[in-house]
Amino acid sequence: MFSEKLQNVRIEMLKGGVNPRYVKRTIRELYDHYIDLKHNLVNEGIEEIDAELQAENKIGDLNKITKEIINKKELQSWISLHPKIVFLVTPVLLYPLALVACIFLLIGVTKLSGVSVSGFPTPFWFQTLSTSVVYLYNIMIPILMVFYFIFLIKDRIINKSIIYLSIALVALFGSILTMNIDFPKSSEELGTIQATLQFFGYVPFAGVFQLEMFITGVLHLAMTCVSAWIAWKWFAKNRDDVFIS
Amino acid sequence: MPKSNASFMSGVPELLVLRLVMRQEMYGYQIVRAIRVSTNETIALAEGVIYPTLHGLEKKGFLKASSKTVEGRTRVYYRITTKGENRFNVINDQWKTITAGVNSCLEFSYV
Repeated sequence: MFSEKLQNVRIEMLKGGVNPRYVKRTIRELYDHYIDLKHNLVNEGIEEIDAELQAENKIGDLNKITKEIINKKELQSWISLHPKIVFLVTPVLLYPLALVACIFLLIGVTKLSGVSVSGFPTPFWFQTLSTSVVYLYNIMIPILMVFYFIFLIKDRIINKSIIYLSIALVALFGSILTMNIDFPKSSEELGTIQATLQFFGYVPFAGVFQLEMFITGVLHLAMTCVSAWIAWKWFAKNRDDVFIS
Repeated sequence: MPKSNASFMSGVPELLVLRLVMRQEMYGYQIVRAIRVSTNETIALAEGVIYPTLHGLEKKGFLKASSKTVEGRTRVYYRITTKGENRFNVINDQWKTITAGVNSCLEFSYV
């Protein structure tokens, strides 16, 4: 069946790194073209089965068409060509950058608004903003990153180990580098923004193990994996040809 | 032969596609038919091979694609852009230069 052959073309183009947008369009156009050819042949009086064969022949060598498209660099997807940079390097770079950005954001807000770090009590709006930024960094960024990665692969074919490693890196780095904020509890105290480097409860610079941080790290890991599973169910929708070994 | 001429000769489908689409918006099947008819069957591309050419031209900004539903069938139509028209003028001029040169050579006789 021609449509089955087109599915093979689709998989080969995706493996070849062609942008999924052009893969979809090529398959659709080839199929429409085949239908047009078949209808014309049938209208000329040719039997349907013969018309299907002739239409397939007229379309040409699908392998050649596939190779031509794969060889066109302008149709390649950067993500498919360099998946390791996108999926493996991004988590490693994004967390420190996001942490710095969040800290600078809060410092910038204190400078612009005149909120004093030693001010007590801390204005409610600033507490809300700060807590939101902390939750954004600690919780939302890993979830969004995982959802984004799964979204990227939903129309592509990718090496299984790359995406598994990517999710592991998101989970790991998200639990290793955390952010916290403490508001002053009295007028003698200063508010602090803390960035903590810890490995499942073990804080290397302090040489201590904190059970609370261990639990937080495990929960963070579980949250990231569950997010990846949800994203997979939502975006991939039972596609069984996403992964190559 | 200058380097650009060698790559140009493989650009004949590009030249034909841009010329045809300049006249009106067309979809892939129409373009293949039009090439066959307008060249008096001299140039008959394997039908599916038109699509890598079309997608490449679109990606380079020479064509613009849009989906349209005509008579209940949704197809992807291609129309030329201003950049495509400029590109056509360049390769058309190259083609004329080459054909003039080839004709000159064919008519040339050594004394």
